[in-house]
Amino acid sequence: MENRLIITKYSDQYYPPTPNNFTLFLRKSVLFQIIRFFILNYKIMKILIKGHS
Amino acid sequence: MAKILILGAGVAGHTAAAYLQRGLNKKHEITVVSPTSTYQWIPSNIWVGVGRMTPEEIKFDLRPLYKKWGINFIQAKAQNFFPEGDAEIKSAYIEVEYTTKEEAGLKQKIEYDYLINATGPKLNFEATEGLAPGNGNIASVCTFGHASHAWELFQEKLDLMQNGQKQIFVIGTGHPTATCQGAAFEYILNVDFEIKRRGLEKFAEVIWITNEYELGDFGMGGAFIPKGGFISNTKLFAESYFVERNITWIKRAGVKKLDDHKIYYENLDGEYLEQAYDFAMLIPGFAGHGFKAYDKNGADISTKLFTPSGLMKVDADYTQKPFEQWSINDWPETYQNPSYPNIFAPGIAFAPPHSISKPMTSKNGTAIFASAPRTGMPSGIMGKVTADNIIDWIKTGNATMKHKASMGRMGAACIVSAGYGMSKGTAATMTVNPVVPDWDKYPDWGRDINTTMGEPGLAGHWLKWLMHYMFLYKAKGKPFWWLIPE
Repeated sequence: MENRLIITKYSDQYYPPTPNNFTLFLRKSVLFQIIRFFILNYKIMKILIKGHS
Repeated sequence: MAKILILGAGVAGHTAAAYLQRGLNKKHEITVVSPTSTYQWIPSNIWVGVGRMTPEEIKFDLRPLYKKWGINFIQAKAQNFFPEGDAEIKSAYIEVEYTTKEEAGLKQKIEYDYLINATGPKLNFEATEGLAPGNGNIASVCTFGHASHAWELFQEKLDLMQNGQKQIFVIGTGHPTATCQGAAFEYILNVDFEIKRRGLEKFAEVIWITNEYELGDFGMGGAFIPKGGFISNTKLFAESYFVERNITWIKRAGVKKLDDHKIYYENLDGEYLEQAYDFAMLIPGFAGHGFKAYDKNGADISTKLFTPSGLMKVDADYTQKPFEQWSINDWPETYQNPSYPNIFAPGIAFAPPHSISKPMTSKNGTAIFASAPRTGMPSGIMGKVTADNIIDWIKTGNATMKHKASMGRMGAACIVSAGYGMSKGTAATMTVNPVVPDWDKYPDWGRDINTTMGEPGLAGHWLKWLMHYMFLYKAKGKPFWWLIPE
């Protein structure tokens, strides 16, 4: 990402949080993402099953 | 023998057809009427629009499947509803017009005992001057055909950038009250991903334009999600996604008109502004199909079946009330028409009682806000409960309507693709539970904070990829398809 101050100068784009290197690493880490894959599946199934009667 | 007529073969209509044929004895007659014989898995249009899939990979011909299932298929479009019959035909019927080349214009009256109106939305490109896809530099990803054209146009722009020509990409909503921000959000992230994959980012300016009050609203008033030790909001989530990618945004914008190079919009401050573009993909407004309904004496009763927007009235509370008094109890549960109980409207065909996001009006009186979304997962669930209720009704003779699926009680998952690839891809897995916030049950956050989330990462791409194949497998009626949830 380019220098935020230069490209945004106190506009809306100046304020939001951005991921640090560790967060970016986790988002791409195959091992970590395999674990998240199963957790996300479980969470989706949970809301799906409760969704209708 | 009962005659069940289904109008539309999208997610809601096709799901209903599948469960009806499975749950009913073959002596009952199921007929599906659709203007096209193709089923398409719409969420994957995004990947067609950036050349990662072909239209053939996301669609299939319904006719062989319906033949196998014993379902009559008629390629036609519905026109007029006669829920009481008429002087000539005593039972309820629908007048349809064939859309095949051979029989174009031919009309037929199809009688029914139970009707499922799952015709989805009319893509109302006409409501925004100059928005029609194929018009200059304007693309759409609403259908596989549109998405295929979007990819052709995108390739032209990639070629120009490869020759050093700067291009402005503007993606978002193309009408002041458009919905489906999620699809546009996916597309802008995928376009950005493909530009960067080719190392062309210095020649591209990517801009999000939206009618949302804040980013991350997605037509459902945004959502609170647990993140990094805080309860955060999808506003920050969406903004963070854009800042990370150097995508800028224009919010609270009601697009009114496009010409070959400029988008004209009004914002909530009442200012009339312009945005230059070289490539635009803007989601149009949705409307009903303009169906007409008549009683047995031929009197027009369209207002009994449809709201002014043309969508079908169901068991929702349509009483006009201020935003502060909205409740999940306003939302329908069985999608049954109150005047004609044998008519149902699951999916986008039903008229919502109101939006989910707070309605906003500009200083000039223009309504600029996101309409309520009804994505694939809720539409599939609505199709299934409609089928289950009709099956019970036919089998027991009683309209118990014991199967219910309110958007105020069901959750939904949306996988927001942000780039294709099994090792380099990414997507945000988003869930909201329920879809419509329930401030009585969850006074702090409007939704169950344990099952409402937004999580970016590679796993999201695997999920979206898996869902593509899983839901097409289900739609094709392959062995044990019914074990796969909606």
